Amino acid sequence: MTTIKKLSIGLIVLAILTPIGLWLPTQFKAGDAWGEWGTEYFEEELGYIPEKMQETAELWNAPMPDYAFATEDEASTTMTVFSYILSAIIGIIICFGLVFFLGWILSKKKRTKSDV
Amino acid sequence: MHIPDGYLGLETCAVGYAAMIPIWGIASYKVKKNLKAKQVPLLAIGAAFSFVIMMFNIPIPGGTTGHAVGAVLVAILLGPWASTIAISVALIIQSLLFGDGGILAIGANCFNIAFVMSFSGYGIYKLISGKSSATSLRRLVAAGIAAFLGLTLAAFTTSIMFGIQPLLHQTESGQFLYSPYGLKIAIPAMVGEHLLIFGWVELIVTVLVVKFLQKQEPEMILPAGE
Repeated sequence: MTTIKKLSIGLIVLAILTPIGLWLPTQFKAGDAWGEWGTEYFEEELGYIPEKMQETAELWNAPMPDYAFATEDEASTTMTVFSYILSAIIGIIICFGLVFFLGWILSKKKRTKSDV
Repeated sequence: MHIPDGYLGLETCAVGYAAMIPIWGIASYKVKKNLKAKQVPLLAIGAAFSFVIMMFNIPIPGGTTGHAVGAVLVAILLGPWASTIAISVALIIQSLLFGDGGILAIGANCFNIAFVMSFSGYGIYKLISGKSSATSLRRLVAAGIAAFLGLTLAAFTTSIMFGIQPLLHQTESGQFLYSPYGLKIAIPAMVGEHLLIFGWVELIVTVLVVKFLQKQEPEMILPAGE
């Protein structure tokens, strides 16, 4: 088997294992990453939400926020795990596809040049 | 380490983009010049790997979470310019589709996580690995140290971006407009957690993959011209 094939299989295995990244923090009572809190965190910490933060925080509505398809309150554990894995697979496919395409375009000219 | 929207002032976000646009331009030029067509699949796998490894949130018990990035690994295998492009793509997808990292902050996040990490890690790796053979232990150690320090340096530049916000944006009454924590809080918090836990995760991930490639296909570890 080629190295590329083995690495690709490794990627799929990683995608299936991603829910570890959801589960592990709950086991150790860890919260958000530093500096990635929701605005309500500052309501508690400072007593107010910084004005401009409030204005710009929700600028973009991502289609799958936090690698989930349903909001956290509605989602069952199974659904959360499933959508996390699905997000991983979608992300892998898009990243692979985009970089493959970019690399293909960028290396194309040189290929034709060296062929001549 | 993905700075969300709302934390950085517009000036900082603009500086992030202003830095990254020429970097992306030069990176495209360098990749066009140096990347072989047969290396393209590996670069694509590198971007996908970075995306997925960032989903493995690792906890500090009772504290924050963090994760590995994989940027130093990709830089070791394909060079820091190619790595900057691959990791930038992963970060942009995370931001646009999954809301992980702000869209105004894409330039800043790509600067820290793609550019700073790839280049600092690659430099340290080169320095330590020297002219050692592809399968040598020294090269493996170099990869591990570079991964550890590369991630920590990315956390450091990120913490500076956070930390200058209260200096730049405060009302006359002392209310913060964006991220409220200054350099004295942000730098120890972010650099500390990466030195303590997340840097080691990056080290382990990088060493495991480099070790695998040393056995599987050592030619991949010594890119063209070495």
